[in-house]
Amino acid sequence: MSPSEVRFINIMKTSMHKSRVACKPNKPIFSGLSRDVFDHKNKSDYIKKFRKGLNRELVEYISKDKNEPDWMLALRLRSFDYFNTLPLPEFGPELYSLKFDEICFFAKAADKKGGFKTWEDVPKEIKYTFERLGIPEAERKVLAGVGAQYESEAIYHSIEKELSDKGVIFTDLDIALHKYAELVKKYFMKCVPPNDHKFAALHGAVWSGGTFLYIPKGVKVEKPLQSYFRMNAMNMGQFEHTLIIIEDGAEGHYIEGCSAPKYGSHALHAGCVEIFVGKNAKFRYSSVENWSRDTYNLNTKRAIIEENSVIEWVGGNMGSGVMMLYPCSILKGDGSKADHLGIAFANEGQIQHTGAKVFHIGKNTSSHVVMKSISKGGGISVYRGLLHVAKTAENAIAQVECDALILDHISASDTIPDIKVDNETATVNHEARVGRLNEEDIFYLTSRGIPEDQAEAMIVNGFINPVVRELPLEYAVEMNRLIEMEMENSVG
Amino acid sequence: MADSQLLKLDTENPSVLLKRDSENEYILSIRDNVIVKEPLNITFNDTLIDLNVNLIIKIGKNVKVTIIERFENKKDQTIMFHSRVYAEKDSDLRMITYQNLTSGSKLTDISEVEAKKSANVHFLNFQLGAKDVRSTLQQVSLNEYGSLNADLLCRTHNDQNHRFDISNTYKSKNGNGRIIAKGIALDKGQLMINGAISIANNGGGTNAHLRQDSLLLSRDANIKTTPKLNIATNDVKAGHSASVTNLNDESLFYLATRGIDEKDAKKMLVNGFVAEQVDKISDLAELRNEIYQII
Repeated sequence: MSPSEVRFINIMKTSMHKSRVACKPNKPIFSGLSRDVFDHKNKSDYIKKFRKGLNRELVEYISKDKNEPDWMLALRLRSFDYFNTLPLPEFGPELYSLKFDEICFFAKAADKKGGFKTWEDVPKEIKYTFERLGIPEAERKVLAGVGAQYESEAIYHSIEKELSDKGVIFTDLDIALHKYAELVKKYFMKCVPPNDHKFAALHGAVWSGGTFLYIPKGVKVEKPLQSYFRMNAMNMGQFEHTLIIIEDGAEGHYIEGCSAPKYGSHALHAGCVEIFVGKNAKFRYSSVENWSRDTYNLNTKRAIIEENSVIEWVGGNMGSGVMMLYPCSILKGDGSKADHLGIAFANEGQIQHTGAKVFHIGKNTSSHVVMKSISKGGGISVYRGLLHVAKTAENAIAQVECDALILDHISASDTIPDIKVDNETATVNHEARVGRLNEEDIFYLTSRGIPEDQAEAMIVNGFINPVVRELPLEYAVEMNRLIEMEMENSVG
Repeated sequence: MADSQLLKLDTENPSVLLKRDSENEYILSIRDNVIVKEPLNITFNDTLIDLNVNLIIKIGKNVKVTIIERFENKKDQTIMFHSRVYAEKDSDLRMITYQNLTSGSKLTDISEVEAKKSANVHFLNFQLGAKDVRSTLQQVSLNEYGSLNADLLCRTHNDQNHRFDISNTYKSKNGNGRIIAKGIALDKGQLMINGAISIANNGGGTNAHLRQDSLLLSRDANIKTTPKLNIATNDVKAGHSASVTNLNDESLFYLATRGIDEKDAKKMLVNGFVAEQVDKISDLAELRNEIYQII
C-alpha cells in the first residue's frame, strides 16, 4: 500500500469516527442546519418606513437617529464624499450591475435602542430565526458571549459575568460609541481609513450596529465569543462594524456568522472588521459566511499586530453571489505573526474572490497563508493575494499555499498572488495547485459500497479538513454541514 | 552589417529563407519536413540608435530547428523588437534569446507564438544587460497535444529595471508544458516577473506548471513576482510556485567550514542557482560559457 493510500485511509477513519460522534443522541448544535433554515424569511413590513438609495440626508438621519457625537457625523459625511469620488475597484468581479439606488441602506425591524437584555424579550419572529440558526443554544453551551444583529441594528449582546468582571467588554458598537466614547474614537476606522476604497467609504458613511470587543491587559478569554449577522428583508444592505481591541498580553477568539434569505434581487453587505492586537497578545478571528446568492459581499477585514503577537484568521466562505474578501494582516511589531486559513466554495452563479493580504513591516515577522477553494456547477473561485515585505522587515518569513478543486468542466479557478519583496533577508514561498477529484480515491470508496455523491462529499471534506479542524468542534460541524449542503445534488 | 539591414541571419541552408517584407518587417520561413542541424543565429544592427523591427517566423510542418537571437552592442541603443512565431503541426522549435546590451540601452521585446497540433515550442530567454527591459512572451497552443515551454534567466544589477511577462495559454486538449523563471536582483536592480498559465474550457487533459524563483541579494534591490493560474475546466493538472530568498545561510556556513572563502562560496551558490537554466543549452557550449562568465 502506497503512503498516499495509507494517509487517505487515515483521513477516512477520522471522518467516519466523526460521523459516529455526530450520530450520538446529544447531537452537535449546528448539525441540523438545512437550506430551509437559511432561506426562511420573516415578514418585513417595517421596510416600508425606510427609503432605498443613498444620499447626504440619509447619512445625517442615521447619525441623528443614533444620537451620535459630532466627530462621528463628520466622519460619516467625509466618508460619503469619498464614496462619491472614489471609483469602483479596477480588479476582481464586475460590480457595475450593483444598483445602489435599489438598496435599502438602513432599516430597523425592532426599534429598541441598545437591544434586548434577554432572548425572552426579543420579538418572537426574530428570536425564532436565531433559534433555528442555533445561536441561543450555542451561547448556552460553548460561548463566552454572543451578539446578534438583525438588519441594521444589533438586537442582543451578552457576556459571561466572570469576564465582564475582569473588564472584558463585548457589546453593540452603537452602545460603545456612547459608553466607551474615548476608546472608540481612538480606534474607529484608524486601521481601515474611509478613503481606502469605495466600499470602505460607503461603510464609513452608513455603518450601523456591529460589535465592540475589548480584552484588557493580560486577560485570557478561553471560550470563543460570537456575533451573528442576519439580513431579512429584500434589497437590504448591512454595514455592521466590528471593532476589536486586544491589549498587551491578552488572548481571545471571536467568531462571526452571517446569513440572509434568497429573494432573487440584489442585497449588499459591506461590513468592516478592525482588529488591534497589542504586544505579546494572541487573537483568533473566525468567520462562517453564508449570505444568500443575491448578496454582494464586499467586506473589509484588517488587523494591526504589535510586537511578539499573533493573529489567526480562519474563514469559511460559502454564500454570496459576488464576493470580494481579502483579510489583511499588518505585521507592525517585531516578531509578530499571522496565520490565514480559508475555504471558499463557489457554486452555480457564484463568483468568490477571496484571499489574504500580509504586510511584513517589523523585524523577524512571519506569515503563513493556506487557502482552499472548491468550484462547482459553473462557479468561479479566485484567490487574490498580496504579500509585501517592506525594507524594514529584516528576516521575514512568508509562506502561501493555495489548493483549488474544480468539480466539473464548467467551473473555473484562478490564482493571482502578488509578491513584492524589498528586503534581501526575506524568505518567501508560494505554491498553488489546481486539479479535480482523484478518480482512484472515488473508485476506492465506491468499490466499498459508498455511493458516488457521498464519496465525493467525503473527499471534499477531507480536502478542507486542515482549515475546518482549526474551528471549535461545534463550528467545524457547521462548516462540514454547509459543505454537505453545497455538495448535495448535481455533483459533476 | 550594412546600415540598411535591421537584422542578419547567418545561414546558407536552402530550406531557410529570410525576406524583407517592408521597411521594418522581415519574414523568416523554414520549409516543411526539414531538420536544421546548425542553430540559426540572428543578429541585430548595432549601429542604429533607434532600432524598430518586426519579425515573422514561419516554422513548417515536421521542422526541427534552433534559432538564436543575439542582442549585443557597443553603444547604447533603444530597441523595439516584435516577433510573431507560427509553429506548424509536429514542428519542434527551440528559440533562444541572448541579451547583453550596454548599460544605457533599452529593450522592448514582444514575442507571440502560435503552436499547432503536436507542435513543441521551447523559448529560452537569457537577459543580462540593458538598463530597461520590457519583455513579453505569449505562447498559445491552438490544437491538441501542443507543448509550450519557457525558460527565463535574468539578472538586474546597478540601476537596471527589468520586467518580464510570460504566459502559456492552452486552447485545446491534452496540452503540456512549463514555465520556469529565475531572476537575480542585486545593487539597486528592480525586477518584476509576471507568469501566467491559462487553460480554456476545452483544454481538458492539459498538464502545466509555472515556477518563479528569485534571489534578492542586496538591500536596495527589489523583486515583484506574480505567478497566475486561470483555469476554466476541471480535467487538468496545473500548479505554480514562487520563491524569493537570499543565499541560504546554512549552505554558506557549510562551505565556510570546508575552507571556502565567503566570496567563492557565494559565487558557487549563485552558479548553482543559475545552472538549472544555463545547462539547458549545454549543447551550445560557447554561449553557455559566455553566460556563466557574465553572471
